Amino acid sequence: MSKLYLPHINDADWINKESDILIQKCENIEPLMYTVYHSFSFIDGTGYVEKVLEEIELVLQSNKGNCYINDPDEFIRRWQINKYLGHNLSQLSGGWKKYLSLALFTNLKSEGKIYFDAFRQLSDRLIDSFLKSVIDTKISAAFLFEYDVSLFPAGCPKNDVFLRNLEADLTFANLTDQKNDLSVKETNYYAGN
Amino acid sequence: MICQSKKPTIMLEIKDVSFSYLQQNIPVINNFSGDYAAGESILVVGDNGTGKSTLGKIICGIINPQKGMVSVDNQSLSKLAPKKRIHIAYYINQINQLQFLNSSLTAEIRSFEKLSGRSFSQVTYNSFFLPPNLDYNPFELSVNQAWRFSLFLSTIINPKVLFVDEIPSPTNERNRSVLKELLESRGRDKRVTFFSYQRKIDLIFDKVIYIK
Repeated sequence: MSKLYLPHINDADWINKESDILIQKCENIEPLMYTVYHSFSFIDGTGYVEKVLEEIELVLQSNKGNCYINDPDEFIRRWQINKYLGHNLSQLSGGWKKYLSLALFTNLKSEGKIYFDAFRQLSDRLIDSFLKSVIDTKISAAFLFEYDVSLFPAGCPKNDVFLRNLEADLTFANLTDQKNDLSVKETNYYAGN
Repeated sequence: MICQSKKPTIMLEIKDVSFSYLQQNIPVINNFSGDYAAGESILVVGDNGTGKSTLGKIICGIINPQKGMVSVDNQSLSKLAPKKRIHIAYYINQINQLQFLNSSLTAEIRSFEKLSGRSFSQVTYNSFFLPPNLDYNPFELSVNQAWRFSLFLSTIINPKVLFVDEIPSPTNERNRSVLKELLESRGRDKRVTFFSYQRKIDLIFDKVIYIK
């Protein structure tokens, strides 16, 4: 069962500029080993293969034992990527490239995940699919730092997974003063709320 | 007495354009047509993978359609060299950092000044909420700042057609302010301006194109 955190930050530019401090804050809230996703600027894929399907097979095979889903067919079903399997990676749209990178990253085992700028460039449908897949994995906690938190789907998750919407007022003072922990307001969040 | 409104002159003409990527049978863009007058603003809305970026690249002459034609003031862009073409139609990539080629904001601005033969306006720069220190490396800009900087650079070139592929965060106050300014200045600048996004935005555009 995943705990999903959507921290509110006053200045979204900290996603780029203060990510190390934000990671530390996450570690204070949920003391776990995290892997961190940053939205890539230049990456199209590994560069070793041409097609989307080949990329998925390559990454799953290379990380065998370190993936939540090792079977490409199951991965494709879970992440709903079947439409673009035959496409060249270089011809994939920007949003789908990002979604594929999010899918492959999320599928790698780790106690916790921190995502910086996951939603941008994704449609509502892909954001919804991404979040459901995050919750379905066995990640203990995931933090999502987003430029536009309003893109968080109102009805997600649609299963009975408990989602905590953490509103943290990360003022600059809070960020720099490591002694002060986050000012945290927790609200329970269920499907449909 | 019969009052007849003046018909706006068409600046950008897109006629029956189709485009398929190599080894793909289904065209991403299929028989798309549209006429746009100087000063018009257009929002292109569509899901991921529907062809928003492809349409932008076709409009700006970066890729040539297999069928149909695009012209700006009756001039086809397809045979123009990129350095000439960008004065007419300029495309801001959704990963706009790809278009930064220098290690400081000053150098980036200077290269655009050299390209366009026009000087940059400090007043305009300030209105885009960018760092006052021009020695800043463009790669150190935040996503929102980088986007606003790309928009600012396009004002130096002042193209006839501008395609802004992806708005990073339309709810961000500063982005919104810049967006509003660009929309309000569209008549003055006589530019056809396209923005693309995955969903509708609560700002007023002259036209909205839905791509499915």
